[in-house]
Amino acid sequence: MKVCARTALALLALATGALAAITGSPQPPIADDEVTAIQLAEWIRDRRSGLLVVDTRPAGANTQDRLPGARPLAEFDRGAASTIDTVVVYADTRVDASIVEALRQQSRALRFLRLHGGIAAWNAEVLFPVVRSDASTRQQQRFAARAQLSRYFGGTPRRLEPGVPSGHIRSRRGC
Amino acid sequence: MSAPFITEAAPLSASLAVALLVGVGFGFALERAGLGSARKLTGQFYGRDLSVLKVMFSALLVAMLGLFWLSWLGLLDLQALYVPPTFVWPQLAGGVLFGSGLIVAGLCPGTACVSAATGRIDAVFVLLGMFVGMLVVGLLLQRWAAFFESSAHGAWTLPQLLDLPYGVIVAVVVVLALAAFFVAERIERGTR
Amino acid sequence: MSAPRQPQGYADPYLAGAALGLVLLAAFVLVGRGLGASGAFASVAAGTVALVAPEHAGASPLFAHYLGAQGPWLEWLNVELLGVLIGAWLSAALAGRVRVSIERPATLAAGARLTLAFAGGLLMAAGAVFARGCTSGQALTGGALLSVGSWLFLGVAFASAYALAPLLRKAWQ
Repeated sequence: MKVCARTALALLALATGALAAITGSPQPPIADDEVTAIQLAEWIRDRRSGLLVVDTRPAGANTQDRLPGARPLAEFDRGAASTIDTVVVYADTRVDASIVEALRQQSRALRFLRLHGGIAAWNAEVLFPVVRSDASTRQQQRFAARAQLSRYFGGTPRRLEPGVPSGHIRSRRGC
Repeated sequence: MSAPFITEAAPLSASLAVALLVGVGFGFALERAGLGSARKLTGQFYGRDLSVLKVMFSALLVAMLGLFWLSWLGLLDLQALYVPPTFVWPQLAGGVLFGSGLIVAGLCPGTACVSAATGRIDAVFVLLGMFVGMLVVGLLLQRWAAFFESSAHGAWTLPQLLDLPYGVIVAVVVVLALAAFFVAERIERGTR
Repeated sequence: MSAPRQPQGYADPYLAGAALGLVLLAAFVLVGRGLGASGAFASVAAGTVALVAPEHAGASPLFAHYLGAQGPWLEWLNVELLGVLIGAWLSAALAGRVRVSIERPATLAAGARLTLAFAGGLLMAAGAVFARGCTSGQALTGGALLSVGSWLFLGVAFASAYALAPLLRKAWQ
């Protein structure tokens, strides 16, 4: 192969690699109108004023895992929104864009944010965060803050013992 | 819908059809690169022909970068991929045995299959050795079960171990691989 | 039948490697797993033992792994390796490289080459069992996933091959 083609491939690898370093995480980025579960949990814990959390799941859908203080969509009172400036909406995973649009049409003054990853992310990141037992001291220390947040909301921080088989035997083996 | 598309719940025939197709691509690429030749492959360890390093790390870079960016685009769920579990001491010991076997046989299990398919009798003997070795070690493994299962860390990745962002590790691997390619070209020029 | 012709040269290693990387990426995207080779040998060995002496098969930590679900014969890696044979033959046939032969330097007797090949296979099998994979399943697949054990394996396997290489110089020069 020509040297210039090799150089082009090498530069492509270098560019995408450097961009990866800048990006950091391979997870899809958080959109402008989204808020992470951790951020929302901190807002709720700190009793951020003007915050309203709205559950957009159909009425009667699992009321057990409702976020603390969240109102069902049906009870969302547009008139009494004078003290409210930020509305966080959530569903099981993604909030349907049409719901957000409908709310936005009715109350233009408010800022609407969607919970990134929905109730699934809330459960995984806020209520039941996991730390590996072989994590470094620094990772453990960082996890302590997460564990505190989890306990604040009545969750259970978990410790993963990676050496212990989880019971579910994967039929897959790399080689 | 995000990748992987065929999960463990999918019909076996679908995943086996993919297995066959992926295998054909795998075998074709290895043969094209010349890694079905034991002499070419062992050239790696005598500074004669560093194709092994070049092929392997080019493939690794493409797959690693592809995974990172597909995940970032939301097209692939990295959590759903099977990461081979880490067993530190057994894998270090296995690496020593495997590396020794590699230079003695001149082929690794995958390339031995490629070599055998192109008519090489020596590769067939490598495959026979692999099969007999699996039988013997498999039957004796109970005696070493404690060691076999020791120092287990499950699916354990470099970003977790080094406590660095995934993307930073990706960049470091890219830089190291490109540096290795550069050195490989120099070495080949020196021995020719 | 065409007359014997000059075999074509091999492809550029970087290009072939990039193609291999795309195959690996396709495997991840389609089935969520990477490539492999040695696992197929383990699985066929497990199937053989299960036929001849079932009580031994279940007792082995290696074989027991392959005796669940679809059984040892329909193991994903078996089918994948069958594909490898087909793909390799296809590539070699297109390039005029299929030839029944024993690949060895003139200084090495055929018997010696075959003995080394068999012994190397035995060693690699033992290594692959403890490492949970080989160059494809650990080094390449696990390497691309940044698995800690895969990179350990990759480093140690290359280092020991380099360390032993001077002793085997006669076999490969």
